[in-house]
Amino acid sequence: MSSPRPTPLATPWGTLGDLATASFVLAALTGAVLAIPYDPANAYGSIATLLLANAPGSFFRNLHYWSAQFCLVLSVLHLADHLWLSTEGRVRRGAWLRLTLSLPILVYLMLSGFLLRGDLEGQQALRIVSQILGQVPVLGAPLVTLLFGRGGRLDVVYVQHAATATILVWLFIQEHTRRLWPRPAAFLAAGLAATLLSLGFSPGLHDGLDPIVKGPWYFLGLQEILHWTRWPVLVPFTIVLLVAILYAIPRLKSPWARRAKWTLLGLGLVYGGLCGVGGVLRGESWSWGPAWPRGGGNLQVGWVFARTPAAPVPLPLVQGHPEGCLVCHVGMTGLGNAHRPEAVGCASCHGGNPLTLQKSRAHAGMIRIPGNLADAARSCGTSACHAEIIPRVDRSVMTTMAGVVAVDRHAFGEAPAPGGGIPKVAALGHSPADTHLRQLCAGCHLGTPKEHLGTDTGDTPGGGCLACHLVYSPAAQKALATDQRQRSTGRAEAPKVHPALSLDLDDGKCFFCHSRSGRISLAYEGWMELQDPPDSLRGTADQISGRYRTLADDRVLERITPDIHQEKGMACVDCHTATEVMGDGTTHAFKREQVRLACQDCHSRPGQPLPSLPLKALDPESRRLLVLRAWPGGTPQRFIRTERGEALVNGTFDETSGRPMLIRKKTGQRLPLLSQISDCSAPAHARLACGACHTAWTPSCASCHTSFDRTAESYDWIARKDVAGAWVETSQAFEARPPTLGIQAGEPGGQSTVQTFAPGMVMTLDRPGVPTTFQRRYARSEPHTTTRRSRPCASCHNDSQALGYGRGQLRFAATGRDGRWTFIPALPPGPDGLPADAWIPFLGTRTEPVSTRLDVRPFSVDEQRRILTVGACLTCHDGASHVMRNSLHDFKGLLARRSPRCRLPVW
Amino acid sequence: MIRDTHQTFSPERRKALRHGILFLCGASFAGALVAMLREVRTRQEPETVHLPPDLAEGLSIEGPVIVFREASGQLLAFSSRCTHLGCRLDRIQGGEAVCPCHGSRFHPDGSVAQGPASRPLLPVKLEPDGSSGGWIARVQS
Repeated sequence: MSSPRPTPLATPWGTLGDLATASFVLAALTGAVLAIPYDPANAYGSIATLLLANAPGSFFRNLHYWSAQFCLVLSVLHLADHLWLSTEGRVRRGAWLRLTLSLPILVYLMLSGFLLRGDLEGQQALRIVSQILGQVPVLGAPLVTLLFGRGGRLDVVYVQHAATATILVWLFIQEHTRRLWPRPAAFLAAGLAATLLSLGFSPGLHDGLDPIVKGPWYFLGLQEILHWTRWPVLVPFTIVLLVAILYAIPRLKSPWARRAKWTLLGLGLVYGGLCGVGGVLRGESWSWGPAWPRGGGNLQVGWVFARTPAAPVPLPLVQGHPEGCLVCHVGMTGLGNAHRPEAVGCASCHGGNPLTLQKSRAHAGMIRIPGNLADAARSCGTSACHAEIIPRVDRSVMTTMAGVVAVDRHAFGEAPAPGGGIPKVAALGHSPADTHLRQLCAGCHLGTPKEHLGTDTGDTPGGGCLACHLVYSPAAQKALATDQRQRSTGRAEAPKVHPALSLDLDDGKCFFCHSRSGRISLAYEGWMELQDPPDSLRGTADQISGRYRTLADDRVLERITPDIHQEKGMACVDCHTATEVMGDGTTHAFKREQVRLACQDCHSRPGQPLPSLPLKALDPESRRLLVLRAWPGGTPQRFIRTERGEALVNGTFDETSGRPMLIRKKTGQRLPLLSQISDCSAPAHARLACGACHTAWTPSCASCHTSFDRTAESYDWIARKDVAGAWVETSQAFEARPPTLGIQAGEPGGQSTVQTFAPGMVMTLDRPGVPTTFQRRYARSEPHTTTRRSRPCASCHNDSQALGYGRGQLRFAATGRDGRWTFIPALPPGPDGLPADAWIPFLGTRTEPVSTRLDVRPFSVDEQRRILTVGACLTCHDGASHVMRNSLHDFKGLLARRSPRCRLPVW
Repeated sequence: MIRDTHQTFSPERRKALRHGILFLCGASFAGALVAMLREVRTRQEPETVHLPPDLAEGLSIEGPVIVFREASGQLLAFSSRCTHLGCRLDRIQGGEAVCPCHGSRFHPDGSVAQGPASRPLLPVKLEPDGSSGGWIARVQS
């Protein structure tokens, strides 16, 4: 009695083989239809035109795509089914050979279909398969020419796809099934399934902007394998080996045939897993990361026959490719020349799908406000645009706030030293220090997303690239207001004026964040924040009345001395270069490390001309900036070379006089650069930073009290929500006073310098569960209140605040042949016994932490004595006197020649 | 003696003869095809790229050519085909040319900074372009 004949898997519409055959025939027929609009010489353009302006054509393309995918999957399942049932032995040897060969031919059909898209992924795939196959000895190069043509052209691929491979597979199928046409039920079922998918899911094209480049889904496993192997030539040999094993299975004895089948099954499962890894876990440049393309290569979801606006003839082109966005958003103005829609389109920034005219599909996945750092890699930072800049911005201190975080944690006792690591504000935890930062500081960093259209207001600082480069013109503001009004009535039309993306940054962009904390923007413009302003000045948001100004956040400012550079019309970006502001690619611990420009880069030392670099030595970014700026007066040919060896793109030389000039970036106006006077280079001042003498004032408050109120609510800028419990800061009165001086350690082997300081964290810290602590730390400050005239000698040598003792009476009294310095503080002592506004005790030192940095310190006792020794001279001799000017060059000699009437201090 | 033609051309011998003839025809056809394809490939014209005279310092990608201009002004040019699998390098990150397909990275001097590529980029010879003052690079695409 014979065993029952094994039955292959079947559906009500036929076996898996019937359905695979039906799918193949459907793919072949729809392929014949697609051949009419398809142009292999303009593959991308012809498909894009189909997607944009030919819904029935798109439908046929979808049918072709889905039936082909079905065919591949069903064919593999059909084969697996027969191997499982061990029915492969019933097929004649020759027919089995041809069926075995039909599998790689079918894969070739699928792959060539992918290549025929002609998009970036198709082009790269064509290069990869040509390279791999071309490495096969003897036959490799001819096979590449036969199967994939040459020179990147698609004509050969097209012929082999549409004719040779299709005919071969069809013939093999006919021999196998002994039928010319598929079974009607199977054909209807496959057709219905493909139709249903085709109506709602359309395969897209890679638009060249997505940083992620991947092959078709069934080759992602291969792409993963190729990432790891250094011998890609093994791939074709492996494929041949696997096909040979498959062919040999019917001829093998039972145990070996079973082992071969299990081997193939195991390899198939591993390969499927690798496809999953490649599809889900691999991102840009095949690194581990977000794996979802920005839209071009994804399946687009939406009714394929939905009503759309009429497509114009010809379609709008961007970089030679059709872009549907410009059909509806035609006539958009305001963006500026570099980003005008005719040049870069809309999708390059906003994503979405530029290859459909259906609003819902076009806007699916769209980035409404591109430029936020979270999605900058898919908008501003695509490979065709500013890909190099985004990683730099990510590492910039304006994004990480590394210094702020490190210092705060150290002050809270949560880190052993400020700058011990390089933290990021976006990765803050929930410790007391981190919560303090989340509530009071974390709103001002570039990673904070801009969430609302329009100009920056109190709730939208940050915004990545937009924080600096987005500029709303009055026309753009009006268009936005109109749009928002129309939306409220449900009759919105696409706005016609776009805010500009501009290099012309005014100081208002910096003001938003830098008017806080160190108040640099306020000081630069000559505004001093008042702690207790007259009530009449409050509530008059963003207005200037007389010498007062009220900000949108209700802070009131009083006009005092601005920075000389501001008075001369210079903007922040005239000194702070693009590399400095956007980062140099290095993760710095503190802001000071990211600064590129120093005073002496523009203000040469006496008798030493500024070094220069020729135009051709400029880095690519500076060259691009020069082209974009297009300053009047022609492109400069020589540029100032900074001490770092970099070219200053807006620092040049007058062509006739050779005098160094600074170009105002926004207007192109050229300002002469003055050199230092001889006093600046005198030996006595060799260690003095420019700011030590030329800083007029610094905003400071003597101390503050920071406490945690469990009963209050606050806003968490990282979580972006209200939270229970609030950190509250109260401070003493703000004041504008000349900075305190101290010492900044030099680079290894370099000289330390005298720099400017201000109270940084002089505070009482009241944390829950921890005893109240007091600390007195001064911080290095660059107040940006530069004056042309230096502060008088006595304001340093005879000044208690400059030396760090705080306000009070610093007096030198003669005692016989000598003299003695005394100091009576003006303010009562703080919790540590020092006067409230002091940094150090009079002629003393401190052992506890004195600063927010490790590489700075107040003057040592010896340094105080030396300063005060000069100060003693200044009690009789005017700073501008001949004696004191000589002292700059030879103070010891001057002392040796001093008059008997001179009194020197004793200690 | 009468010759037994049926015995001389038995079905097996006739089949073998037919297979032999078919094999010879097929091999000849395949040989001619391979020869033709080799010739077609050999005759492929290299792509000509015109490089401007004021190339920026550092790395830049000019289509199928990657150019590195040193501070001294000296130029190094390479094919932008990744030596791993032939993908075109289309991005520069951190001063290195990066392959979008499998993540290989190359130093400005063409050497491998990060695999899977193991061979340096293929150097491209530059010829002076008398008309523009720049250079001409010919690259096999």
